Amino acid sequence: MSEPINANPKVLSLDDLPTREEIFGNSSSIKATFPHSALDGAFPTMSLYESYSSLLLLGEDGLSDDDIEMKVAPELSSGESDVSDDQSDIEEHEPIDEQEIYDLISTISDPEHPLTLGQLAVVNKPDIYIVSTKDANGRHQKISRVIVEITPTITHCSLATLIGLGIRVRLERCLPPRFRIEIRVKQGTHQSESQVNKQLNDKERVAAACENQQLLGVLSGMLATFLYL
Amino acid sequence: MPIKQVHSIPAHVDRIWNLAPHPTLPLLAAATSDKSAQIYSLNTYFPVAQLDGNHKRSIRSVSWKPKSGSNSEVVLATASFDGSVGIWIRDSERYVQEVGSTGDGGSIGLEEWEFVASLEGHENEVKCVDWSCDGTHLASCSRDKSVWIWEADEDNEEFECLAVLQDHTQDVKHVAWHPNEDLLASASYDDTIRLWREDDDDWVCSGEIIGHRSTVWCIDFDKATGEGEARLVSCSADETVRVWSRESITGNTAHRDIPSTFRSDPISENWQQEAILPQRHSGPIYAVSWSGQSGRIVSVGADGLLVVYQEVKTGEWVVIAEEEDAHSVFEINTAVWSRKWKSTASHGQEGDAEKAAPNPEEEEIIITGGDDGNINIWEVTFQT
Repeated sequence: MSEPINANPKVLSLDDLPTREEIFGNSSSIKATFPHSALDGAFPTMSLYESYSSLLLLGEDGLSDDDIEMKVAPELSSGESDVSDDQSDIEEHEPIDEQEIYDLISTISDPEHPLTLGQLAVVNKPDIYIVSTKDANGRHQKISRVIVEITPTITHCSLATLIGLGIRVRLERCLPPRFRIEIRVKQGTHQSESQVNKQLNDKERVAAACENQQLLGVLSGMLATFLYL
Repeated sequence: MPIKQVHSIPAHVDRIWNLAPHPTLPLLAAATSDKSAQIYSLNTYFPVAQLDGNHKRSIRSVSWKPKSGSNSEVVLATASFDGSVGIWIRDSERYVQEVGSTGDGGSIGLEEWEFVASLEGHENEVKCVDWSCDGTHLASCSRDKSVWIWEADEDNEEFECLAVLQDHTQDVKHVAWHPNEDLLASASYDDTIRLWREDDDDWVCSGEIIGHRSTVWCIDFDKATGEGEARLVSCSADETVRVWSRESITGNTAHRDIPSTFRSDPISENWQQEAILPQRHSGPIYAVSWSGQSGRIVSVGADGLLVVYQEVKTGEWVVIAEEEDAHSVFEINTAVWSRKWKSTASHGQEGDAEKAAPNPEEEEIIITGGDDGNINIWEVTFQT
């Protein structure tokens, strides 16, 4: 890129970025042993899910008491039990938390610098929110919201929508369908905040953008994960 | 009042964007993100045709041309993200016997469809397409902020663009024709709804409805209004469903022979908000449909909730049925009322089925489509 929009951004050291170890210290917690790269972070859930769904193929007899208890909860319409319901049950064992979202998106590359969104502090862990609501009976609703507020490096950054789109695509590909993803520019950090926010959360625009080959090329460059992290 | 799912068609692995039941035949068209459109029988819920190979990107919207007079052909329009509108005609000679309840399962490709025209002109994604009540006009709208009005020749092969309407300031998400007037409504990302009609030979914006606080995703007219009356329902990313009614039409009174551009009183419609329907949704509401049969309204959206409303007196609406997670945890993109066809079709030609009357109870169904790729069929059951 010939003329960078922000030629001289502030850069954080990799060591300063939040990781799973920061929370759990070096304790023997299983989670602390997870490497914090995006792909590795996602794998344990996936493999667990896969083994679970292969279990399901054997019929309900194969389930433990624990699993059956969880399946009782919501009145499934017309007795249909589909994969996604079971998938959300899995997350009760292995909930997706803010750190996991951070791991997924902080490793995305900036479109104009050879740095990650985490290093540029475009993505910050305190600006990630997971909201799950309970219904009148105190049960967790199946659908949860993930809200990510991004901080563009400069207030007139024309790449804010592209960055936001990259984050949305990464999360849509990695998170189970029960998550509703909202990407917003952090208040006061961009000139055309409301326009960017409206675009990033318009399902139809996002879907159409993802069918644009040129744009997809740029996005896949951003989403190629740094293996050395 | 309970609502129950009576059937689910596992139609696709991918997103279903839009569903349209044929106005008079037991056919359902589905627009999907795999660049194809499917036709299902509403007698059997089996697929009868797959329309593919012509659009290069997702099909966002489908609309059937109403059959009228000498026009006996079955015609479907498809709007695609590739910027074009496709026109498809069922081959009346070659379509074969519909699969009945023979137990041999449905198979695709029973009907032969021909791609007869591609309507080019929009600069980018076409979001919606709709045929007017008598099939003379076709409207399309796009992210390029414009609404186009097309007129077809008798063979549905040559289309002439009558107007390019560019008053919206942002993407136009949806277009819908009035059930018996030549009046078009369009809904936009600019948060407004606009109304369009022909004034002499020009298509003009005859009204603007301001009130929603975010993108208006879908609109539908009341089909039961009296002569000269008009009402429409709209749903928005602002999480509301609103009903609007036309209070008056002014202008265009005298000087019939002076071109509209020189007239001092261009035609103008005054629309007022009649009601905000009880608020149930959280998140954008993607579709509304106003039943011509019962006068009920259904809405669906990103929250997976299906809500049915009934008017108790003019402008006063109550929720009569609600279904959470109507497509499991997935977002719902489309909902539409349809008459209920006999699900136990005879083994005769589909031609017979076309003439067959719907169930005597005149029951109706709601058809929904979601990101899970399923088409779900719902019935609101009456309490007596």
